Amino acid sequence: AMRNNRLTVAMAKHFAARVAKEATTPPAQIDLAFRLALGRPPSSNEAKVMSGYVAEHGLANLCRLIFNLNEFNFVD
Amino acid sequence: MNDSPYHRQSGVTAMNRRDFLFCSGGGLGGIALASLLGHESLLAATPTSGVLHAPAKAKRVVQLFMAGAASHVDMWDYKPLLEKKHGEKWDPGEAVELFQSSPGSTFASPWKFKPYGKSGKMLSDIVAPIGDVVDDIAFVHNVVGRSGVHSQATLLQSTGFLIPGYPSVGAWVSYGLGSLNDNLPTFVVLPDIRGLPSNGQKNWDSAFLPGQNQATQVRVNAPKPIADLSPPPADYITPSGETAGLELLGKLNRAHADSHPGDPRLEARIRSYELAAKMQLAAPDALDLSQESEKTQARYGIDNSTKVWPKEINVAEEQDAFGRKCLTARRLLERGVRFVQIWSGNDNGFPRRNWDSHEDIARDHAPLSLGMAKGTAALIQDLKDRGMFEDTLILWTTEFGRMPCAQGGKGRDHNPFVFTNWLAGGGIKGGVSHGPSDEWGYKPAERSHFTQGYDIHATVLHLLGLDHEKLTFRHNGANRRLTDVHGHVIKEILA
Repeated sequence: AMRNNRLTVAMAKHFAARVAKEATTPPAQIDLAFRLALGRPPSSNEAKVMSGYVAEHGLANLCRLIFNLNEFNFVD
Repeated sequence: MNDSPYHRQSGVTAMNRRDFLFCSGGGLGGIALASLLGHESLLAATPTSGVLHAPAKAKRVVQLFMAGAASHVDMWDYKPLLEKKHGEKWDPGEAVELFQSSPGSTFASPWKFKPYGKSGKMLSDIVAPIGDVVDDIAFVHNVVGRSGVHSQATLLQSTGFLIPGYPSVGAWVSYGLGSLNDNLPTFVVLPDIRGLPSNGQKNWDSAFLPGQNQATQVRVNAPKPIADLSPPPADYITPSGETAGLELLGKLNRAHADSHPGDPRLEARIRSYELAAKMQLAAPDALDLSQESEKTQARYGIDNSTKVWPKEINVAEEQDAFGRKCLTARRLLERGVRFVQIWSGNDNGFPRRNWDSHEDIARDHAPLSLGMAKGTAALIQDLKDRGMFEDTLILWTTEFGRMPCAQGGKGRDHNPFVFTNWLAGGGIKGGVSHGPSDEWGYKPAERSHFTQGYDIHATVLHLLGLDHEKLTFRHNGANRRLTDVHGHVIKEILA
């Protein structure tokens, strides 16, 4: 449901729009998306795989992915 | 140099709660937390999945739940005294507690009863189709409830407790036996698409059991039977983005789970995504009833020709709706689903679409019952044709019965003091009726001899090879069971 629910899909697009406004380069956008959603910067390995994914499939898809992480869904 | 973000590094400004507990208070908070997590998960990870306590007679269960309280005296439990005394003041010789009325006069069933099968079981006209399979059924006529309120009584029959917060019988079976496949859920619920029963999803929740034991709802007869199985149309979603995204998600979630040992929810969530991906292929196929022959569809009462149903509750529509659920259940069971729970009737609304016939028993019970009976008889015969009847358990339940006296002339009020459940299939002795009710159908014939939902559950677990006293889960300091501290296997109905 988190992945395919219309609300999540729409909110991922809004989240991506916000991030794209506040950060201009893909590495900065990935960094900001992580900090806003997860409270931490991405590790260097995470940043690498994420930038590959963003380049091919776009920021909105990345945001939707972040919403589906266990780390986002569970309070530590 | 550990690149994982979870490895504590100096200068990291963001600190997670786990780290906070470990760092502060001399690390004692962390020790307590780790001990709590480890303790709970160690004991939680003692699954009995795949480990049976005794030889099993059945591998899978289909439960038919009539929501709203189906009237035993109008369906399964023939009471000639009601015919004899119809219209007279009803006096069972003691004060009667009703839900929302004062006792009306004695009210004979609007339908005739006839004998069926070798056992000669008397069945009402509104369950006549079941006559073809009555010799396979073990009736229990002295089931007694603990509450005459739908909310509590439904939960009692579905979870074994009167209050919310406990796992469904289907969740316990899933927990105890595990799955027979990996591309469909272990526990599936087919609700009435007009609405959910009292307490809705709490009836099929996993509660404190691991999350993967909760039911997946499949709304047969709805345009999209499984909610959110596929993404909605969106300009940024593409098939390649989906595949790559799911793979990446799995990798990141695994790394996260590896550095957070002791939380079974994380693994459960990862597996639910894997299952969902497999279900995207497996589910549409399983739910595609058009693959079945016209003969099979007709047997279940499925009508593909009618586009618009009448506004009033009617036999054809109920037959079609229930038949589709039964045929879907057979297809799911064939494909390895452990526990399918079919619901008939919804929560109170207007017009009435449930079994709670306070106003007019003839109006509601006839269509609902005839629809249920046709689909159920077809399901039993179909399972036999496929060699699945011997290891499938069929359980017919309702939350309580209805009164032998009239309410408002045409209806019946709640009767939790006695009602009927029945079982058939794997390990059940067919053609028997256990535990008579009294001459009115008001209370058990012998007041001190009755059956409870706990006994039904104990019997179901027993036939699946599970000891209801041994299938436990430690939660909040107690070894929890489906049967709480009650329940005996009903030996009289075992083959």
